[in-house]
Amino acid sequence: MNEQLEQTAPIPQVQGEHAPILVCEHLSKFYPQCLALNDLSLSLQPGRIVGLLGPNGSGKTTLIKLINGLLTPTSGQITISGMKPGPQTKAIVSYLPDRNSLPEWMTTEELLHFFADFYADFDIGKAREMLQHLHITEKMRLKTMSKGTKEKVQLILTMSRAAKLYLLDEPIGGVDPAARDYILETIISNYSKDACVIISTHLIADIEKILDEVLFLNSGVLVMQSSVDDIREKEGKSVDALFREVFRC
Amino acid sequence: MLRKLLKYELKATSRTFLPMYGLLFLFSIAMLIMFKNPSGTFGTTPMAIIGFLIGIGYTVLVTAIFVMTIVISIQRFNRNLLGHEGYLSLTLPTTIAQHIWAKLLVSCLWVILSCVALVISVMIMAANDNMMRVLSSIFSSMGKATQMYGGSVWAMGFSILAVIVTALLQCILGVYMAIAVGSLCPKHRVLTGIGAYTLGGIVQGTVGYFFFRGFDRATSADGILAGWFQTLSASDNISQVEFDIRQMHMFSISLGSIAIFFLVFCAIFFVITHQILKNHLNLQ
Amino acid sequence: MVWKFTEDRPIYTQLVEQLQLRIAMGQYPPGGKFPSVRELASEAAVNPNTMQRALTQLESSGLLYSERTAGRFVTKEADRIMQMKKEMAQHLMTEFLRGMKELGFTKEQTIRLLQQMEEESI
Repeated sequence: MNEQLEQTAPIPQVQGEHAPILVCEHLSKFYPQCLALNDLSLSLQPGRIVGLLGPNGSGKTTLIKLINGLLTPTSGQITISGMKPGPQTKAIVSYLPDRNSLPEWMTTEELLHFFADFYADFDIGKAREMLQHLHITEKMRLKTMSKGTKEKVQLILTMSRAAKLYLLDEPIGGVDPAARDYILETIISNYSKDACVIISTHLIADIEKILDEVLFLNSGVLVMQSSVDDIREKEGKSVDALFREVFRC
Repeated sequence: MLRKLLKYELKATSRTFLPMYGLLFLFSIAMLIMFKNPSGTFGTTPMAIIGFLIGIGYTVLVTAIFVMTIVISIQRFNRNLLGHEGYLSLTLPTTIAQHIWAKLLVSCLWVILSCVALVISVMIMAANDNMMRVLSSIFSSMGKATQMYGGSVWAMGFSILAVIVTALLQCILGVYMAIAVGSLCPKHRVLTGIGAYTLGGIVQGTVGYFFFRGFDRATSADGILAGWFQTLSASDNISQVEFDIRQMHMFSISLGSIAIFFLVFCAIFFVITHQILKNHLNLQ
Repeated sequence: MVWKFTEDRPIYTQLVEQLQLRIAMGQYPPGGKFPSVRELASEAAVNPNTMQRALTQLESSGLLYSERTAGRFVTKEADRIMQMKKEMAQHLMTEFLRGMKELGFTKEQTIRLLQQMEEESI
């Protein structure tokens, strides 16, 4: 009976027909000391949750900053929904950095208004609901919050936008297991077939089940782009196990 | 978008400045009360000490406002664009130029407001019945001057204002440029920044020297502008008033050209800052 | 019921098995409404597309059917469910017998041991 099951089931066709959200064409980024990204080409469809994996220094952060418009490419092209990185793409990209970037002097309520002001796709009601659920009062000033609470606020603000591309840089690094489950649950429940979510992380085991596909980066080169289930079928092991093998120190 | 950036820039900075101004006015009023009595109210020693402390407090506040205006201008640019907040600010759907303008305009505003606050506090302290008379005489003489000399007086005023404003803008932009250049060398940010600022000053000074030497030469006996200059400064066949007006116009033009000179450097500093933030951003 | 996943097999196949188990155990009764992809994905903490793939497989194997506006339902056909149960039982039994064989028991010994166990439990 297992053989019947193991016969590959058809992957739902819906996603393939839409225009890609992110396209990188021969993207390279040179620094005087190193080559951060080397001739990277990839294309990501909406409705996917993608893992961006690789050891430190593999170019993950560089790629994310290029998508964000915080860096400009040395050569090659990068487009988000067909547009070059700029104010228009920033309006449809929701970025969660791997550090706390919110102004400390603001209260949660002021931050809600800030996001609502600058981002047309911000859903203030949804954010409020999530904050309430986590017992974070709106009058609290960020300065007075613990690190974990600040991270949750940042996550809530990021996920309350109806963006086309979400960039989550190490969203679950250094959080307790309960918070981690909450974050993963938020990502799943936030799923939209019009949006693509890129999660950059090295904690693969925890997020593998929520990923559609993974991008393996090593020394600035895209080593592999594959769906999670394909890897498991072909290699007979999880992505986490494969990663450990490929990048064994 | 610029309006929104301005709004939040004001929000972030007014939390510091408004209370300081408020305190300043309080101390001014206290000073006024303390020193109103011409013969001095220092009959009693406690009063003398209180008076002394208020005086110290006032001086400290004035210094604090002066220092904070500079510090906050630097801090806002450095922290909000190049620090951790940069990850938030520079991924907002705005252009880099809008960010620079927002910081620039608000910094400018606080410099001007700080000066205004100082003037008001001095006026509070010196408040007496004579002041109203002094103020009204100032206004009436302005009116008389306009009657006599027409628009040329206002042109002088505007040219003075232009020089002050452009000098201010150029100063702030110079600081921004220095900070931006400093961010290119993360290991020696402050040194590089100071170096860039100094270099900017040297370049400006050198260019200015040649600019004005050129102007001087152009307007002297055999220079290109000599003819025009002579007509302006010739005093025969015209009335005293007409001569005065021409002098005023020369003044306005001279100052105007200085303002343009500053404006050019404003543009240079702006472009350098903009290019660094756009293409060579190095967020830590 | 807890969702269990192993590392070496595709997630969607494991989802299919576990959903079948839930149907077999009656957690989703025949003819009853089946939860949405989103709900299930959230519950199992898996990617919605992967869950969708598993549900599509169950639909094509006849265990689920969907009505355009009303959503997904478990099949009303009891024999279809019984067939699935039998297939699952077959799988369990095959594994059990293989395990017993590895231990060195013959088929007859295995059956006797089972009977013994059942008598003792009454």
